Amino acid sequence: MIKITNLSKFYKPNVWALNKVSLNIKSGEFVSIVGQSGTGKTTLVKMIIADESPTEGLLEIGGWDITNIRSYEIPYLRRQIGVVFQDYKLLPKKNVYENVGFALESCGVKRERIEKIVPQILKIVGLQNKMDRYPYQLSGGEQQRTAIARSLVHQPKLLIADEPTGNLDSINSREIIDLLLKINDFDTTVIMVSHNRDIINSLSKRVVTMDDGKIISDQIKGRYIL
Amino acid sequence: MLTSFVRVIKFAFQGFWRNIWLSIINITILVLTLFIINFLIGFNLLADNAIQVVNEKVDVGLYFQQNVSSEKITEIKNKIAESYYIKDVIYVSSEDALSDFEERHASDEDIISALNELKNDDGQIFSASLKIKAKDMAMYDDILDELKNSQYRDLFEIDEMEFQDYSRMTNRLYDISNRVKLIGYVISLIFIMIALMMVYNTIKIATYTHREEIGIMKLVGATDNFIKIPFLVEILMYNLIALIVVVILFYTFLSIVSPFINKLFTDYPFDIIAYFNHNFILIFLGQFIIMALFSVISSSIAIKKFIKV
Repeated sequence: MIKITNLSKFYKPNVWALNKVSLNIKSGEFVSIVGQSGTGKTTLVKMIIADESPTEGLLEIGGWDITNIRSYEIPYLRRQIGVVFQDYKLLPKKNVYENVGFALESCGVKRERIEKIVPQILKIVGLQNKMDRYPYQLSGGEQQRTAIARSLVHQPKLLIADEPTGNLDSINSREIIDLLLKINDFDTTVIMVSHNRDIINSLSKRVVTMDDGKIISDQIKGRYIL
Repeated sequence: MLTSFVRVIKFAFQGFWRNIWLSIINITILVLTLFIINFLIGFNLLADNAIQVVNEKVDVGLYFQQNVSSEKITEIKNKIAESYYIKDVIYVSSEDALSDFEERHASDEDIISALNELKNDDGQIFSASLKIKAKDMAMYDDILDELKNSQYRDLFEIDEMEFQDYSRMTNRLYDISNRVKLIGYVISLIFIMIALMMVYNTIKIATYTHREEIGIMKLVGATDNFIKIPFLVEILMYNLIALIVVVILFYTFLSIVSPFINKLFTDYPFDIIAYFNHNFILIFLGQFIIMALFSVISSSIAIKKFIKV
């Protein structure tokens, strides 16, 4: 699914955010990437969604070399990758339905199809009864579920969650993790960047630990070791 | 494709209404710019017409001695007419000059009686003359040189007073017209620059206002064109609305000033509204295309800079 070979990212004046990182992720895997702040986790995520380009190395997703991806190809890559962030990135003036539908609208999907897909996705994340609510009327967990719903509208093969529970209490965090596991059960590859020790330890899934721009540990059924 | 097109237009309208005051300011600046440009076009037309009217009135008169026969004058006329600089030569016989004078002063008995006393034995008082018109105002000096060096020079007197008066008038008209044109060009240029800077800043503000939406659109895989085109359509909407407003305002302005302009050109049919009607497509569509082109270039630079698409 994802093949990363000697990937590096250099920022001026003298920072190597990633330093010769190599990683293979198989289709359908659930991989947690852990590490302290500034160890290169988010840089790696940004490269996978082609928001940053590597200084050197190779990055392939589904056999697609995105190391030197052309700008006009990026939207088509992103339609195959769902992304969720800690701060949800919802539009405050749009309700749940509109926030999710907006992702399809922006890609030129017809209204009839949007009307069909969005309720289905909202049902998967458990928000079928809150479609008319605006972000400020939702709990943190519900906002994150809306963001997850939005990331799923293109039925991606890969879902990247960058600190998805960072702003949530333990109950809501658990709900979000359960939802990610459910999505993973549908054979979607999930990459989760997290600081949450308890959650990582409870998963019994693959854990990649990063430090100073390098991978220092890669365990099949790993634990939070820092 | 159609869905995307409709959605792009929808987003453009949303952008327009969400920043309605900014849209109004932009449109106002564009209206002022286009109005000044049209005013300048109208003024150029008026100045050119005024100069043409004065030029039409200018001629150089050759007044022949009484003893020069009409055959000789006709011969001289034909010779002069061969000159490259000359547009027309009109022969005015002494009889024609007299009857023209009498006609013009028919109501003034004192002049008519004085005229009768001054007539010679043949009943004539005026000399036969040739009225010479040049192809261009600037050619009169060359014509005068040719006439002064003519082999028939001792048969006529040259009256260049009228030419000199009109020449001074034309030069003043040129001078005034050129100054107003220069001021107009400078003001137009300033307003064009302001309009383009406004467009640039509007995109800057719009992209800042919509930064969350743009970020999400990019995140979920919207193409660059899908993000960019609504802004360009919004800018085109400004231009289109500004054009419509300018057409209404400028025609209102023309209908107010045209009676005064018509009074200036009583002997020469000149209708400024008809001119704009006749050249409507060329003038207004041309302005729309040029302004829209500059606006799109300006906003494209802003879009590229601020949302990196």
